[in-house]
Amino acid sequence: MQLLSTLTTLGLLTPPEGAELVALVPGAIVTLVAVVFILLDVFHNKGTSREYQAYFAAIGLVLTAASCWYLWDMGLERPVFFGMLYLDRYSLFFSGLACASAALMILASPAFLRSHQMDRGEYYLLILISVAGMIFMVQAADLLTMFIAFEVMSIPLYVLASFLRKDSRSAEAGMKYFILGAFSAALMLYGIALIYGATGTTNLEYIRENLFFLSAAGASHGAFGMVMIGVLLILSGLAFKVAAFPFHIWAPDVYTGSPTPSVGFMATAVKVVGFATMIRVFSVAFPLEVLRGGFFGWGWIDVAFVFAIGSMLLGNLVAVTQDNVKRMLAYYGIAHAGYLSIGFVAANSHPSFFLHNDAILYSLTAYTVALVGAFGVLSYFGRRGEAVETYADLGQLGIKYPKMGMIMTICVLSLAGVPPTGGFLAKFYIFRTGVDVGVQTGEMAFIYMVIVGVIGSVIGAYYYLKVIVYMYMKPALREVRPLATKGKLWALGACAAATLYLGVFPAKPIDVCRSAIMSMSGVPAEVQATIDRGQMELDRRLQVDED
Amino acid sequence: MSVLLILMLPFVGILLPPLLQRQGRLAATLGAGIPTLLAFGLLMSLGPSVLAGEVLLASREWVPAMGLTAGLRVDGLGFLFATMTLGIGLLVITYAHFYMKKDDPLGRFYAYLLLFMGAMLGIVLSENVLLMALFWEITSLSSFLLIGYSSHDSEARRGARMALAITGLGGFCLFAGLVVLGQIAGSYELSVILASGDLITSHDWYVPMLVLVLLGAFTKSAQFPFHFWLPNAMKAPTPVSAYLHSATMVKAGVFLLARLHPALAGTSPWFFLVGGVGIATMFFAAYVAFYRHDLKGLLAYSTISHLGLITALFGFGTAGAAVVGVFHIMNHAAFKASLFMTAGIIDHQTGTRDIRILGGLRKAMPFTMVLALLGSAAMAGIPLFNGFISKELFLKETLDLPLMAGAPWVFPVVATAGALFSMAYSVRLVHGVFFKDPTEKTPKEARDPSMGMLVPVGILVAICVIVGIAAEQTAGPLLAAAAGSTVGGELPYYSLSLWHGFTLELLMSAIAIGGGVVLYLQRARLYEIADRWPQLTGQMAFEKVQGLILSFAEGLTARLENGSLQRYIVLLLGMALVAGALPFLEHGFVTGTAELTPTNPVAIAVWALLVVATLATVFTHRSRITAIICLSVVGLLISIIFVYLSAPDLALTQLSVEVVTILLLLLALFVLPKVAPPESSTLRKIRDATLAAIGGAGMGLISWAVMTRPQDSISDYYLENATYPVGGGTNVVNVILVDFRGFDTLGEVAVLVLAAFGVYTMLRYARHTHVEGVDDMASDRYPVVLVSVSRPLLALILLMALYIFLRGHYLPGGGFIGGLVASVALILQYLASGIDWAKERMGVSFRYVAVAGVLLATLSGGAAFLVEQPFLTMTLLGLKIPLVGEIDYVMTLLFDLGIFLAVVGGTMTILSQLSHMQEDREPFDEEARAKETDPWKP
Repeated sequence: MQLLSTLTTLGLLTPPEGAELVALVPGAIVTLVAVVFILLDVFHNKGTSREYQAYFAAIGLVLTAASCWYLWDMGLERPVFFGMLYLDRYSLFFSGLACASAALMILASPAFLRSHQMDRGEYYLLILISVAGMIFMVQAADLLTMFIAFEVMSIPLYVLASFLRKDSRSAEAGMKYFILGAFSAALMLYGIALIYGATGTTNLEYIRENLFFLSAAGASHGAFGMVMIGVLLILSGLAFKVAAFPFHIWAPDVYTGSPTPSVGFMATAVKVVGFATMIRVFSVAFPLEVLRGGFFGWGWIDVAFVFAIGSMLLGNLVAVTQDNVKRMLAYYGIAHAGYLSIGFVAANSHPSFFLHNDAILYSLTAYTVALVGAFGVLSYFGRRGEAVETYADLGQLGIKYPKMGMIMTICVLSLAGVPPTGGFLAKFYIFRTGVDVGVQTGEMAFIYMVIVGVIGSVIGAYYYLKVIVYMYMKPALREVRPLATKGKLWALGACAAATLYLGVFPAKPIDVCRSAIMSMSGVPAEVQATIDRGQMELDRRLQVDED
Repeated sequence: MSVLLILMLPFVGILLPPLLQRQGRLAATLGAGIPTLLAFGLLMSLGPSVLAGEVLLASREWVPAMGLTAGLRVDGLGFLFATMTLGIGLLVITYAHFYMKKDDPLGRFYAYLLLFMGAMLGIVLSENVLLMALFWEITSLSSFLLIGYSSHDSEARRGARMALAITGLGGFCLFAGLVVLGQIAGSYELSVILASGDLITSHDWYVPMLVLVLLGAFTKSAQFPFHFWLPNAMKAPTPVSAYLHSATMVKAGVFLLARLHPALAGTSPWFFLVGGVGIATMFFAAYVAFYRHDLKGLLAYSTISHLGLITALFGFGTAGAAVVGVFHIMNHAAFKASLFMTAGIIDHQTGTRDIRILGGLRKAMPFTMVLALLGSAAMAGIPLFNGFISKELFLKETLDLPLMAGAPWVFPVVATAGALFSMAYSVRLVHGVFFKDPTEKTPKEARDPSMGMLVPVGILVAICVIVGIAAEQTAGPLLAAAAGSTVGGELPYYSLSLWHGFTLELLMSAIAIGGGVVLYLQRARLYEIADRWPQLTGQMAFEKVQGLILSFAEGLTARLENGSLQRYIVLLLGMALVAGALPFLEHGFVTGTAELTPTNPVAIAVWALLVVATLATVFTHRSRITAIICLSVVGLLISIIFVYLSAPDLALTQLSVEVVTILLLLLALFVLPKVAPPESSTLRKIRDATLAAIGGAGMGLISWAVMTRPQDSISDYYLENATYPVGGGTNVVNVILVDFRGFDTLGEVAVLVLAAFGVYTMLRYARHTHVEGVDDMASDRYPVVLVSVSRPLLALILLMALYIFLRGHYLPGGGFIGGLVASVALILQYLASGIDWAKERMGVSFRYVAVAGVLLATLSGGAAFLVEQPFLTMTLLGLKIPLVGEIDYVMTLLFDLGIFLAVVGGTMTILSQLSHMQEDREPFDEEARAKETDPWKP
């Protein structure tokens, strides 16, 4: 009876209603676009350009993002389909971001693919399917939904990585990504199995209830060992996807080998979704003190702490020595996973800091637009099937192509964290979160993280400025040509504009992040209390503003 | 509002020079000058109210969530700095117009300069400390651009990068410090912070915060040991040096000290850190400056020294010292900017800045000589110049330091020594350039420059002299206002008059001036001594650190990222093991309490055999056939274990899956080379084995812990309900498959069929390329024994499959197992007699079989709709078949038949495609082909 009532309150037994179908809308649109895309590709007139396909896919993604916007105020209280999917602003925010990244990178692709003689429709299809996986992943209310969405997201990426199959580096990238990815997915699945073994369920909220029940029923400290292994394995699987140390090892090789525009997509959207899932899964399912740990009771907070420190140090240090810009960006991606982990550790170390997660959302947004812009510029230039990849290739580009130079400069400054760009505020917001939590708890570990982050940022500024130095100050070593299409220029311009917008007028985007984080469904009661407090504060502020 | 406008003007102006540069250099200069002039005018209009002690605030909400407001503040201190920034900025813009090369379009240069100017104004006018830190970063960045302006010069790039690295690092530290400061004070607004001095200084985090903030200030103001970037930044065009490295940017550090003085000063950490570093820098840099041969290098070290003096003054922490500090900031800006410009003129007119080459220029450049003489006199602190007054006051302050009561002589002595060297290098500057006999001819014929370059210098020198003679009347009000906001309360008594009577500080001054001259006369011997000293500077340390970081990073890269997939997997697996081990360390290993089931020797023997077979697989993996045989032994043993554990259904499934898998592997062998790739080294094998053992042991332990826990499972529910009356069968497994979880089963078969189609599409056109080492095929492709046995077996196995399928609902069996068994029978024909032979006789494509299966399953599930039941409701429909028995659930049977067909179709599609590949690989050979079509032919 007890069980039955729990299941009912968690919505696990509520049969799907018509209204619940709304939760499928964003995912369904992408899937539908993908299916129509297959037809479109079948009727493609051989030998003609496939640029229209890129526009088709991009418009589909924009529609999806628009549907996220439309659904913004229509979130559902309870998970739908027997506790499988959430529909809240939190998931809509990340779905929208993933769509934006995919759409921008798709617009940057056609000329690149043509110049590499791989102008195939599958390319766009794979991205669309991957986005569908991402959307369901951030909506997941159940570890199984999460895992399946995780694979739907990942498998097209393995193919994308090896898309330039005539290029051995690309084939190698796909191979490595696939094998290591499959490995990490297996680890994660093992973790899920262990959690299921301990709690008898895969539903996030139900897992939490059962764990609370176990601990209240006086389960020995040791009984949580198995749960803990499961938790850490799930964390490892997600850390692999976001390329956090020590699961970063695949990133440099894969980024270097994969086609440049698809790297832009992989590096941003996957990281966005990975962190979104991380926050959701851990704050909803594993908030129990024993599992959370914290300096150094070895819970998931401590492990994330190790991720943060390790990623920032390793990513930044190794990035310095790279000659290849793509590889450098890969290492920066690792470092950035570290910065985000600062936010993750600080904001989730105690329920009362939960709202600080908005720093991660903001940071991911700023990172996405800037990195998409940077990869876009890299894929903008090329020559006879060779991409622009090394620093030396960038020589004088800024002077010969002032628009591209400007866009690259803005994006790179943002990634380096220089004002007045979004990246600066993002970094600041993350660091401030760390300091804030550190001061309030008096725990020095938070401050150490921030200090490492600060040092990392300085090193980061060093290698990012190298890009600018090469673009404007070093001589050109070889002739490169733009592979231009109008769509691409607009897409890149949009990235640069968004980067500046995020840096100069951040109030509105931050409010959106905040409202996304405050809408997260399924959080435990303590967190809900924090959210309510935040909501009251917000209302009060708005009240004051009106007066 | 006008405050905001002052700040915005330079930023808006950035666009003008690059746009106007096509109209000529003058247009670009005007484009930079006019916004500056406007801003300067606006600022002056605020003058009266600010000098009256008012604090003008203008605040707008910017990012409320981060505590950022776009708050601006004009008080005395801000006003002083803004005046310097804009005023000297104007002079520098004028000067640069004449100084820069004629063919330089100047647009980019002025844009950078205005960017810097705006950022500098931002620092000094910010009300919000975070906003200030933000502008602080922009000054670092724009100074990087300005120093590296002559981008073709690699030295300039290096200097720019070093400046950015040091000031950027400091900037980030400052940032962190200010965030902490804001957390302590509860607000990022200066008004709040300045008012909560006691709260801040008594806070636990005061010292770490102070250190961070000071790191920012010291790096920016080039204090020891971070001073070395400034001399390296001298590669910048001289107008930049005059502007950034004398009057403005390097002053940002001391500005910060002045700004936060009311909130942070007056404690002993503050005194020793700020005062100590300041006085040490003052002496050290003055000493080094004396030995520099490069004019700008000398001035750079002199700047460092004077900044040290100012830092020391703020470090003393008393109100009186702070006033003097502010005063010296004004004075230093005036004389140092003038001297830098003079150095620029000399460089511009003679082509060199080396004091050893220069000499005797007094005849060729009389105007320049006068200006340099006056400027140097101010720098040296000669009476009647502004430098004298502030130096006197400084020396006086060193005499009265309560915190140095133990050793009151330390500060005065060091200060006097510093002043002494200061005098010496000033003399050297004037005498070395203008008076001593020239040693070589200068690269260019020296003569006085155009008035455009001399006028800005003249204005600055005039200020030095006027302030020096009548300080109280000219600089007094501004100083009072600026010092007022630095002290943050009542101003102490101070006098700016020239003559204070015969005091100790006058004696110190006299010693410094006299000693300086003597020192200069003895310079030859001093240089000799200095040359013998080992060179150890902060710059070397910086480069060492930089090199270390780089080589460390390279080592790390080489070690971790060698591109080897094996290495990556080892790392990944290792980390996963760590993640798995942590909880064991944390929580210990606890087994469950469930009772262990008894076992018997036979079972143990089977398990032992299983282990042996597994090990055999591992050790024989080089010879592939043997490995596969061992693997099949493992599979068979597992099915035996299933039987032992009373799971006949599972055993049957396992058995048939095992057979099919082995077949698949055998078929795959055709496309692999016979010889296995080279073995790994022993070390690597040990490493891999260790990892595998740890991983396996860990999984075993976890399984043990899991399985010994008492556990309720859902199986009881099924055992109760699966049989009559709900499920209507006696074989629980089959009932679950076709009824309870029928939808899942339908999905699974659909996936199987989809996968089969995937394989079909991919392999349909695959032509196997020749693989190294696969040329020795068996001569007899279709062994007669196998062929003759396989024919009768076909019927028997098919019958068996049918039987297993039909009885599934009651006894172990069912569509899935039946399908697999049937597939085995069919594939046997392929193997034995060849694909063409088998295909000819098959008459139906397995793809259609597969599709038909899925369709049948779907339709039989959908039949429930006819009687208005939900999908997959297995409606009652009895039927009696002879020999097999009564079948109550025909719909269930139909559904199961669908599964049967789908499994057969799917499996066969996959396997036949693989064997197809093997066929196509054969070279075309008439004889072989003939043999293939009819295996009975000899």
